[in-house]
Amino acid sequence: MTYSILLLISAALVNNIVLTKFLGICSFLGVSRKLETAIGMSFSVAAVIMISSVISWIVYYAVLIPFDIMYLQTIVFVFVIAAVVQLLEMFLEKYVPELYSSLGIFLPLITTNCIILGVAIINIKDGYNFINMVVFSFGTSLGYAIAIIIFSGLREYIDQSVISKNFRGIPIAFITAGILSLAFMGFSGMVKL
Amino acid sequence: MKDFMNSKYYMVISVTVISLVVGVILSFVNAETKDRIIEMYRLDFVKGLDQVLPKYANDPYAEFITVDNRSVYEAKTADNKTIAYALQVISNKGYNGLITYLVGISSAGKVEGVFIVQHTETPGLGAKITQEKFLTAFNGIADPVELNIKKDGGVIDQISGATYSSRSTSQAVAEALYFIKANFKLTSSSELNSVNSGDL
Amino acid sequence: MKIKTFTNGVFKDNAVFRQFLGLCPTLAVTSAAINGLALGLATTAVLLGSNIIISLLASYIPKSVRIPSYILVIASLVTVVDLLMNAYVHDLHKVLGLFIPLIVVNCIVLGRAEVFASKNNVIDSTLDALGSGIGFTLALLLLSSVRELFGEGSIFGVRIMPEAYNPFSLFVYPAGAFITLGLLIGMVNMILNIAKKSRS
Repeated sequence: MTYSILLLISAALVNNIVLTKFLGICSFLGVSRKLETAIGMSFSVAAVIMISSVISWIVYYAVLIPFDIMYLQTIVFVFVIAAVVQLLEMFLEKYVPELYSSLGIFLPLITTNCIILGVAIINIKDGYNFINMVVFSFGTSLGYAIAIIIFSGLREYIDQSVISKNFRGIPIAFITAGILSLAFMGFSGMVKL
Repeated sequence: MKDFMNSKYYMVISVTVISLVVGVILSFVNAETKDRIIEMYRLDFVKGLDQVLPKYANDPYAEFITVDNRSVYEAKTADNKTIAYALQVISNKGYNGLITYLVGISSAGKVEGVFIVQHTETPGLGAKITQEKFLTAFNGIADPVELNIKKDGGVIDQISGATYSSRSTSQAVAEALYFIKANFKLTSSSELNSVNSGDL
Repeated sequence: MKIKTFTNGVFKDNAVFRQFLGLCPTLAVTSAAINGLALGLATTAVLLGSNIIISLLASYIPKSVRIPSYILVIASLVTVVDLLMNAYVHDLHKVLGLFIPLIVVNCIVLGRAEVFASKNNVIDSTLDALGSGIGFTLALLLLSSVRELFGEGSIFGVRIMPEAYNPFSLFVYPAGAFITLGLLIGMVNMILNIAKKSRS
């Protein structure tokens, strides 16, 4: 139990997926212009991470290991993710159209968001059991949300300030992310797993 | 032909064909590389053993013994005399995540060598525990107290700015030393000296 | 055969500096020059394979299953590269770890397949892949060299800075990756703007 709680904190803050493991940078820069879209993206990513992690974990232990075809891991996981995204899109469109109209635009982008595949692979590589796998996936989604929401707040300010033409946009966003990452370094050493 | 290419059947057929071809190629590549990959992982471990054990004549990797649920790798001379033991120690006392050590202890109860199998310490700070200068400082020490960093009353120079990582290493080496002392009959260095002088 | 197809990928449409694609591995593996170079070459290999195969297959793959088929091709190429690297350059494979399978979701690879290879012939697609791949590799090499130079005082493990230089560890921290890349992109913009001004 303690381990699971520590794992959650570690995944969300100490080893923040975006700021220390560099997964999901493309979407981190792409959709962090506005706070609203950042929140929408966080929810979509969280949903897809949770569902696809659980499915890929089960597929790995129930299919890949018994048949000794672990080398197909990458291919299988990519397809699980693509299928989850597709199904989620269809499900939302049909049953929760309001949510679909606000999240819909993010869903196709998520297939190529490396966080999802990254988390699925880390779950296997670090040998988490089912509960810890769920905890880790949730912590990671939380960490992504925290990072992207803080960052979008910062970017809204940056966009209004005067910056050298050469550094406007992406370059200054990177430098800001670097400073944010330094701030998150303060969390390291806080949790011992 | 054009109609066929737009039909549902063609869609299914094309994906199936691609999947089959891909499957065949991958299973072939896997079969070709499988043994080599296993061998590479073994070599990795043996490389670590070579670092922490004196020259041995046996195959410690294959002949490991299990004591108290831990694998101990023994280095033996050609006449089958054990000269050193190696075991893995996993520590959670580092700054970030687990650190896996391989520690060699000589049959005289001295540290033979320390090797870091895996760690995720901060690059540029804690990651410096892998430096030879830091690790070789442990060699030859028999007194667990001396294994501590200077701040804790030992003789080891810690990596500056990385107290946790350094301390974790000290404790891991001490743990290995205690474990070997508790489970194996060692010739303590004083006995060794007396035997030597007796021979003379 | 258009040489422009090649040079555009390297400079004008450089994936990292001009299109901001493939940033995750760019930031993650560039703490040392050798890692940057290795991942750049691995990505180039996948890119080359996928562009060639897809340009050959494009006319036989139905539109509706286009993307899944491309992903299938790319994912299997990545698995092949992963297995081969694990078997033959094991130490590099250990360092790059997670980021080899993640080449699958590197936007550059799927991007070139969809935008270029599916609409052009094999030769052009090969050139395009080589251009984009080399451009990506150069970007990784530049970033990792700068980070290693200031963070460790060396490039490819060879000491460049004078002994008196005290490495500025920030550069090898995760934070340093963001800041260095931000500064480099800014500088590239600056150089381009100056060049544009002097031309007009």
